Amino acid sequence: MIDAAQIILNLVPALGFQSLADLEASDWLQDVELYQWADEASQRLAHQAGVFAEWDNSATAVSLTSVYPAPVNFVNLVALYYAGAKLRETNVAELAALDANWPATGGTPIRASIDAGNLGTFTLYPMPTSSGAVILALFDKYLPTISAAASALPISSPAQDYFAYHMLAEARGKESEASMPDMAQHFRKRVQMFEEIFAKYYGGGQ
Amino acid sequence: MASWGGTGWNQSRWGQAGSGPPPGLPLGALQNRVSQRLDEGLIGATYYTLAEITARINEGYRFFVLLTLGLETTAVVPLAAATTFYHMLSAYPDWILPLRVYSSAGAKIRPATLAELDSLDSGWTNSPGAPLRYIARGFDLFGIYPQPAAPGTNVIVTYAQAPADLVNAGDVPLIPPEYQLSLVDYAIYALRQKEGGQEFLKTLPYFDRFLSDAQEYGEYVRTRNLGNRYEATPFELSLFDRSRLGIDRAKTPARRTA
Repeated sequence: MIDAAQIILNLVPALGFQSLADLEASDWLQDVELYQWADEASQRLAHQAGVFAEWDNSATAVSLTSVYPAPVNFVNLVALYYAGAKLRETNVAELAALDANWPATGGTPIRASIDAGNLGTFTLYPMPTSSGAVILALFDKYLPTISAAASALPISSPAQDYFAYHMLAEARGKESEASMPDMAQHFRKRVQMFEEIFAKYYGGGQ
Repeated sequence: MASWGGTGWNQSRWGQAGSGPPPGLPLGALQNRVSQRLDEGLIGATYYTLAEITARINEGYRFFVLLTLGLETTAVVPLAAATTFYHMLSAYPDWILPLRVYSSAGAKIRPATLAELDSLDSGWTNSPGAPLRYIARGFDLFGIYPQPAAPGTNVIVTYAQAPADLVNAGDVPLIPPEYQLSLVDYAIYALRQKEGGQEFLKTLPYFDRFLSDAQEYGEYVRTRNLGNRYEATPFELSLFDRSRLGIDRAKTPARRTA
């Protein structure tokens, strides 16, 4: 675990301040903004590189219920398993072509669709006719909001500099007397370089 | 967690592992060189504080290791009964990615994609047995197939390791001695970012030289990893266009000697 508070503390000299108190007293920048940018960095990273992979097996089938909420904070559903068996990802047009009466068809689910129901849900086809089977979801997620009160990041130490450069890019790109557009541009390129490294090591995101 | 097989960079080119402290420049010497080259004199610098210099040396150290995967360790990982997935960072905070996985009996456990496991066994997430395949996704998700039915099974995992920060003046970075000066280059580049403009542009050749060192060592690690039948190789810096970072390679000086 890396603490975003420590990343911010390390950034203080790079932003031209002598201490965090010095930064907080400035008209230019507040540490709450740095936490917001760290949060934006984590969301960008989740989408760009899919590095926060997660599994969830807390959902169980309910008889005659086909629509289930997607896992919390999910970005991209990678795979779904019903009682250990893989569900084929199927879009709603394919379901309609497969079975004109698909919303009401019951049986053991063999397919799953993320666009058949509301946003943030997935739909099983056929609709389960018994309860209790475990539904395992493998997915890419984004982290809960990063703030001073919740600053722990589940990353290894080299990834902390991705967050640092994202914060630097936003701070130097912000309209102010301390703005450095050329440096902001360089820092954004460093962020992109990290994303390319992560894509090579961990696969791409959405 | 017990270590198995030692930790560190490959020392076969430089001597036997575990025969004493790692060779090269300790943190104190690196700090001095950074300070001198910024015209601040020895430690006691004023414009760039010692803490700031140390932080930037450590940043370069982390980045060098991330680019080269040049640091690795091997751990005995106990598997829980009937458990498919693990978050490795919870138990191994220095985890970057897996390089090679063996059973405790010495049999290779091969990497697989989700699609391969789905094709191999439609119920692979819930199949008891001795591990034969593993998957890795994201920063630290690690999955095993099949899953041991009872506790007591271990797998031997060699993984690319993140470096611990250099803290004390005597701490030596765990990268080969001939590349340790690249941390000085990186620190100079990083420290002068706050000045911006022309002053910063003057440091880009240092960053370029750092990247060249990382590329050279990364190529060595890539060859070695392929020879060792590891499943991951370093980022291919030779294919990365450095001009995107504003680097003009014609202006990069040759490496200074230590």
